[in-house]
Amino acid sequence: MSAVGTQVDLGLRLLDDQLFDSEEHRCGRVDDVQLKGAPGLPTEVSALLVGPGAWTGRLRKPFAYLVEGLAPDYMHYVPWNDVVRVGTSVRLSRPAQELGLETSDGRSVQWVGDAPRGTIRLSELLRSRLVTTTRTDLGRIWDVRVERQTELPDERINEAWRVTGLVTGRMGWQERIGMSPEGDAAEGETFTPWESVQDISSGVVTVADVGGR
Amino acid sequence: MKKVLQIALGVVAALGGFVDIGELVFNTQAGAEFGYQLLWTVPVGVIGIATYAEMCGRVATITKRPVFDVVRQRLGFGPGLVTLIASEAINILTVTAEVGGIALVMQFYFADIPFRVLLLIAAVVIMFVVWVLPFEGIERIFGYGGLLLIVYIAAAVHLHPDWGDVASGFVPHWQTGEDTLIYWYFAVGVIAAALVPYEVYFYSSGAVEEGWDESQGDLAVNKANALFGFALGGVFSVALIIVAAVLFHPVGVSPDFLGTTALGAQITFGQTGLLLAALGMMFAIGGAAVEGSFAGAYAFAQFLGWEWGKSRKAKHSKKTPGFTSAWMLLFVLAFIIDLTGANPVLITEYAVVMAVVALPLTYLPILLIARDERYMGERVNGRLANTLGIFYLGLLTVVSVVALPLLFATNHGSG
Repeated sequence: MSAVGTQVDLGLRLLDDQLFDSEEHRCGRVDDVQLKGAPGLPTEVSALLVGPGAWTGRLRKPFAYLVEGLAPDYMHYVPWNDVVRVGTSVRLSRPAQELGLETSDGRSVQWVGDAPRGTIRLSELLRSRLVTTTRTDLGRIWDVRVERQTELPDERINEAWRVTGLVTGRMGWQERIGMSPEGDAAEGETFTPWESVQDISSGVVTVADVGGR
Repeated sequence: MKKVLQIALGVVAALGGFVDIGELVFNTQAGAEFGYQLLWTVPVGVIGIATYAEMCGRVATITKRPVFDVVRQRLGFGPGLVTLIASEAINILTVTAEVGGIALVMQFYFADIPFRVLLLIAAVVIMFVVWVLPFEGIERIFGYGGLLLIVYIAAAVHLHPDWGDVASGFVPHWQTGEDTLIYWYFAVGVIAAALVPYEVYFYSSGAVEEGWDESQGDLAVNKANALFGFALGGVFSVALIIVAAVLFHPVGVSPDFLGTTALGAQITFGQTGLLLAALGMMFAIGGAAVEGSFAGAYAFAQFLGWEWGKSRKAKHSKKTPGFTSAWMLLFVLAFIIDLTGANPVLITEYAVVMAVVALPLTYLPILLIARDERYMGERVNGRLANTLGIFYLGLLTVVSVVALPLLFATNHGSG
């Protein structure tokens, strides 16, 4: 049985998971996830971001200012093709040292601040509100749903995880913490397709105005 | 046969983990203040901790994920961090109370030695034992030693209480009159003392450390530990209340000192009773100090994804530097707070009542994971576990709202 399934909510099933390297050594947690792509265009998971530099950005304002001054100004970057398996934890293909984790020698790091061009950080989406082009507020984004490509998924990662949409609204929170089952990848009360996303900027994700909204 | 022995050892360990300074203080005070009236709160607490301990053990066995791993993953970073900060504050208070408690027990026999020296001895000896012994050794030594508290069960029987009155104490009732707030303060205290979160942090991390495996029959071990270990712990709690109800309630003694709890065994069985009670308390409180410090270290390391584990042995601490430093730091902080002259019994009361506030944030993610079929497969919660889990989550949420106001409104139960 797969712990993730074909439809994967990244916040629920990947973010904050424990990382194990190839020697079964605990080497951090998935503090953020990097997506490669652009609003409305094909976008997929490209890397895991690890370390204090990655999680300080997820704190709310007063705490974020406090911790940012103390935490390192970089985060470790684990390419998606170095991820072997995602189940109840995340398994990596090489020893932590080889991947640059638990070192401060500057290998495989990304600086704190705006995400590199052509990428989106999962945390950026998860702290945003979803609004339509006519400024109708659709609520907070609770999760980002991706789709695996295989019909019979196991926990091995040998494929791209493509973003299919955003989970929002009242029921979205329940889905995020796993209180209610993840829904189907169909447009509905809690799901907004990724193709309809037009813009992402400063805590607001804008989607095309669809009839009824 | 090997499995039966393993279950027996686990039950003893769970029992040792259940009885700590919180139980000793709150149960004795509850019995002294209200006789048998608060006995009903013991099964309420015991069923709650057994329910969630069983869930934690099952989740750890199937998914290899301990509690704080689950807390961060389900609640997310921000709420997880709030839970971590609250839990660590409680863990520091708990370890402070336990280290102070050991020094208080030592004072029964070494009254001439300054209390601060006893504190130093208590902290150093416990840290040394933790450093030297493997995980299983720590669990069992303190668990076995804590069994000496059986003297209270013997005392409860020996004192010939009115068993009809004892039985009626198990029927919940709504207290009215001028003592209402104090009554509810102790009701919350007895329930909270049974459900303190460090027990489940330690229990689930221990399951991962010991490599519990479904194919080895460890789910049965988990169920037996949770049911019988905590139930036996409940019997000790009931005994403490009965002894206090028979000896202290009629004469209006308010037990503000740990010595009063020991007095219950001494009055009943003389110096032998005192010795057994003192040694039993020493092991029970010592075990809880170790569990509290480890729980703090586990929570910290698991939240940040660091390597952790006592089974890798403290002497190999280079493999777990963050974890080892964390439990040592907790002992040092506890020792420093104790040195300020703070009353360990009072700290216990604050620790137990404040722990209630963190309980819903600890238990909600456990319930969510235990209900998640994608993670748990066919070992997902059944109807009974779900019903009890949801009931206790609701109860704890209510209790977490009223706990602190009750603490301050009743001047920590002294009226």
